[in-house]
Amino acid sequence: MTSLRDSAPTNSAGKDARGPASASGRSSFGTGETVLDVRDLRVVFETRRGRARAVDGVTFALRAGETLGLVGESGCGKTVTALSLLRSVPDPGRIDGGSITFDGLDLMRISEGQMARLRGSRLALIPQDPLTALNPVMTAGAHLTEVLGVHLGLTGAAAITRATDLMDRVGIPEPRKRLDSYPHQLSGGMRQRVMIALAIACNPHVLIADEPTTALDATVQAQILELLDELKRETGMALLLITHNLGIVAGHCDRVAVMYCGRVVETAPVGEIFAHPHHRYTAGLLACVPRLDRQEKGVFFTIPGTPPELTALPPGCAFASRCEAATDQCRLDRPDLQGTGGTGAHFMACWHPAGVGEATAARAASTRARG
Amino acid sequence: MTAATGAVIGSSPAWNDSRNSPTRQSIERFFRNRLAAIGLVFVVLITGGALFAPLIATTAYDYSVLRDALKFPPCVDPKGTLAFPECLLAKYPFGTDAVGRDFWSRLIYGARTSMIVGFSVPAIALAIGLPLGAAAGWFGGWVDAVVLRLVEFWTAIPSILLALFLVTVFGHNLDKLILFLGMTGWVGMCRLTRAQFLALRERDFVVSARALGMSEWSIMVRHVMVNAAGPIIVMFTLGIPGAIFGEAGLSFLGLGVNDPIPSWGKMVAESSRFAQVYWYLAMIPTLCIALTMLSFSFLGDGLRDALDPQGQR
Amino acid sequence: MSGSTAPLIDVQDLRVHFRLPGQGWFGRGKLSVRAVDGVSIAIRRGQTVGLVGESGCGKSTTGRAILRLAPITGGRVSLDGTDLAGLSSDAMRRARRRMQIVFQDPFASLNPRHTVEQIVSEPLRVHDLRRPAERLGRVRELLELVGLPASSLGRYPHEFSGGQRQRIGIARAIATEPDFIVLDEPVSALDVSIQAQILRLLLDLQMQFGLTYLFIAHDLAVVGQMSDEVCVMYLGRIVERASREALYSSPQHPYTQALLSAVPYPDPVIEATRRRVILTGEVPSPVAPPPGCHFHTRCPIALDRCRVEVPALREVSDGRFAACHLAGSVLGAPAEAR
Ligand SMILES: Nc1ncnc2c1ncn2[C@@H]1O[C@H](COP(=O)(O)OP(=O)(O)OP(=O)(O)O)[C@@H](O)[C@H]1O
Ligand code: SF4
Ligand code: SF4
Ligand SMILES: [Mg+2]
Repeated sequence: MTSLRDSAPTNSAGKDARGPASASGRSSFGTGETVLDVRDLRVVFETRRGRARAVDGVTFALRAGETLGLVGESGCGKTVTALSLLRSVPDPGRIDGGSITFDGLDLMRISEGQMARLRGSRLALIPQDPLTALNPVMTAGAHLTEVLGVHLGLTGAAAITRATDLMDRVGIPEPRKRLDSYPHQLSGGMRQRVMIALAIACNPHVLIADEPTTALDATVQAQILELLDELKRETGMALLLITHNLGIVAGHCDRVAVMYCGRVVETAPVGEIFAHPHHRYTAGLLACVPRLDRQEKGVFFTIPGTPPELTALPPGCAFASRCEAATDQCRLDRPDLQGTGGTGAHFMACWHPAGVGEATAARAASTRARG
Repeated sequence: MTAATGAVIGSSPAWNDSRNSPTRQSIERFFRNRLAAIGLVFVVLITGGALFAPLIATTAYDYSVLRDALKFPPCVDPKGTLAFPECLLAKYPFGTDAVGRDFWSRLIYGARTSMIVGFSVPAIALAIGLPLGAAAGWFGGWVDAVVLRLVEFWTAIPSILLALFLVTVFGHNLDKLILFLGMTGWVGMCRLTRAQFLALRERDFVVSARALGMSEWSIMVRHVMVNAAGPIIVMFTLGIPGAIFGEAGLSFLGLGVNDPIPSWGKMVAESSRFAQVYWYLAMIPTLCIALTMLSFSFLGDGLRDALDPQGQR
Repeated sequence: MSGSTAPLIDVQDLRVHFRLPGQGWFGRGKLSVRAVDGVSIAIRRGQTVGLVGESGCGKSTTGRAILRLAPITGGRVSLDGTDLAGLSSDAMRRARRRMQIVFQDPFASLNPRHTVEQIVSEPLRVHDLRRPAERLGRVRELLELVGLPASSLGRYPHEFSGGQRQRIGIARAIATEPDFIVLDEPVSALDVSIQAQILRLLLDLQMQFGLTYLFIAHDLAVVGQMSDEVCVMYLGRIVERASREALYSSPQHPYTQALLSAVPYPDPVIEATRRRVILTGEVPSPVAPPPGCHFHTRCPIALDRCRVEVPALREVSDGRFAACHLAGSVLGAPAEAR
């Protein structure tokens, strides 16, 4: 449970070791021990334009039964982080350092064969693009029985029965009939349900869901998130929910890790981070999100500029070029994750964190473009 | 106003050089491909040879000295006295053929025939296929349906047999040969153009041009053609070796260009009778055909990779 | 707000039916998709009407059909009181100057082989605005308006990020000094922090030039930030239309209620106590929409009558329109509690 603290070097000064508190008080939260511990993970892509540090020191821990939201904007390294947890970073990329401990196993050390047995069984992934993740010439049933055969040795009628159960479990009507459907015969939501069935087929301890609802309509998105919550409650698995949607984080996660340019810049229990964002990027991001309860036309907060290129990251804080509080220290010296000293396990990497009062001020400062 | 609009543009390194046009990037990609660059060098050499044949050839292609018939090239001549570099400067560096014509000169003029056929046949295919395909893809509906039926009908006829048939019915000379080969080759060009236009027609930047009130014609030229050009150029280039081979094949069968115009295919056929002794007479034009086809294929493949929109970013 | 003036854009009973490519010899199919099936929208000068709905419900087609960029099967679109259908091709060309569009995908909406200068000056050239010698200056001015540096002129679209490309697209759209712009999901492809920048730019431009917008989006929260009035679409029809305040505070149609409650809320405290209406199933295929009320297959309160009878879009209370047999009676109170 204190793994994350240990990894934050500047965090030795006896912070109270109170367990992280959830503002929303979800039942299954924070009870288990750490199942996945990632420290200082680094992934580089050697591209023609130079070395891109897609993941540049990612640290987080996931406990049994909890949902950790990994949020950040497009290209900040969420997907690459997810893939590197399975040691399947796509080609010009490679893991450049750090450690991943899963169920007590050091994933950087184990053989490729051991890794292959883990993938899709105890450590499962729902990939970002459900439309291309299913083989177009295989039926839903064939996908399922294949996984069941490889990992559990189930074949024939037993596999069919189990596959039908799984389809039923993820809320597919007429599961037996649907086993014979090809991906193109299924709607987007149904395909995503099949992907989830595949992922939970072997009762994983950790399920990584990479933007599981981005491609779906709002009403279907709500269905899928509900399903994931329900499965998590039933099985007690831990969920790493990757998303760029802060609304989804607020409703479905226990803790959050915010990524910017390949680094985790802030991590805290969900209630804590929304109430008191410390890192300037988190605070800005929260202020940017359009909300249904702030329906005044033309009231906006904006973060200026765009993120830097991953091939040309500045030596200091990557957010410095867009941050209004940036100083020379920020530009030259990269801040590390450290405890905030406030309530719970709240860590951030910022030299001049937004104070509690200040964060609200930032929101109030939402400029009006129209009178 | 601008302060409120508040755009702060990050300065990424790629911004510092202004030579980032898609064309320029394609050229750079092309030259990074070794084989393609080699292909281009050979293509330039062969095309140059064909273009300047009168300057390179030592005699006219139809100038025959009967008493010099079937002379060995000095390098190969068993009784020869000339060693390697000088032998190339001899009177008949590649020997002579059965009626005493300089083989070297005929090879050079043969290149001319091959190049004329090689470029003209895809050009005819383009002239037929491009407008048809463009119309089908752009207008859709019944135009598309008619063109598609025509394409399907044409595809059902084996092209070589059709060319053979046309040649036997209408006789053969270089012009007819080009026409017949071109007529069998337009289908691919038509399909490609249609697919390109069909895809581009729905692209947002085309819709945007239409929203501006641009005429269909200028949209086609300014927005669609510039984007369809890449694949069409590739197909044109890859059509060249096929045409060269088609001409060589027909000429080999005696259904190609007429005497005295030289053609590599015909030279192989004429020399095969003496192949036992004068082996090089058949081998050299065969090598020429192979080398030319290969160069164009490499060039075409290289162009495809370089122009591939996938690699555009 | 100038309530009494005639609308700038008046759309009445707009229909767009696409015939699906079929089997027969000449490719004419029997099936057709009713992408837009009787949509009426009126937008007053200087206002923004939001159009929301799930993918495939016909939002974009509506926007394009208004600009006559999609084939219209029936209905009427007028700009400033002139029926566009009656215009000669020359007059239509002139009318196009007054109506522009900004697209969703900033990667597909700019010609990859043209420079920014070519892209932004094309409208000037096509409509012969400004003297040729002055065009470059005007392009610079437009780039400054949308917040791009003048050094962008000679660059190509692929050298820009999504947000910057969207700025280029906006510069092109305002180049003709239009009155009306269809914004077809202009920020859906962008990150939150960039989204806010673009929305703000659009509002600034609206204020500065008195632009009229049709703002199409699938995200209700974004629509709320931009619109004066909101229309909710489901399978080709408008199911609810109301002012922004009314729609968000007390939605009348069961679909609007479900849609609102499906929007995740960036606030854990609210999320924890929120009651969600989770619909079953997905949007049916527009090729074979359900009879009666299109929504009855997913509606939590559907009656037998709904399966047969198409509900008309009627005024439920002052300025609020809903297409539901039960709106205004059973549905008095909003189903969603915050
Ligand atoms: N195959 C690859 N080759 C080169 N670079 C890559 C490759 N895959 C990813 N990257 C780089 O790694 C960075 C992080 O990518 P990643 O897909 O993890 O982002 P993300 O946070 O998941 O974004 P999104 O929200 O768009 O899914 C990107 O900037 C990308 O350019
Ligand atoms: S470290 Fe400095 S630049 Fe980075 S977010 Fe904090 S204040 Fe801003
Ligand atoms: S008309 Fe009937 S089915 Fe349609 S929304 Fe109203 S209650 Fe539901
Ligand atoms: Mg991703």
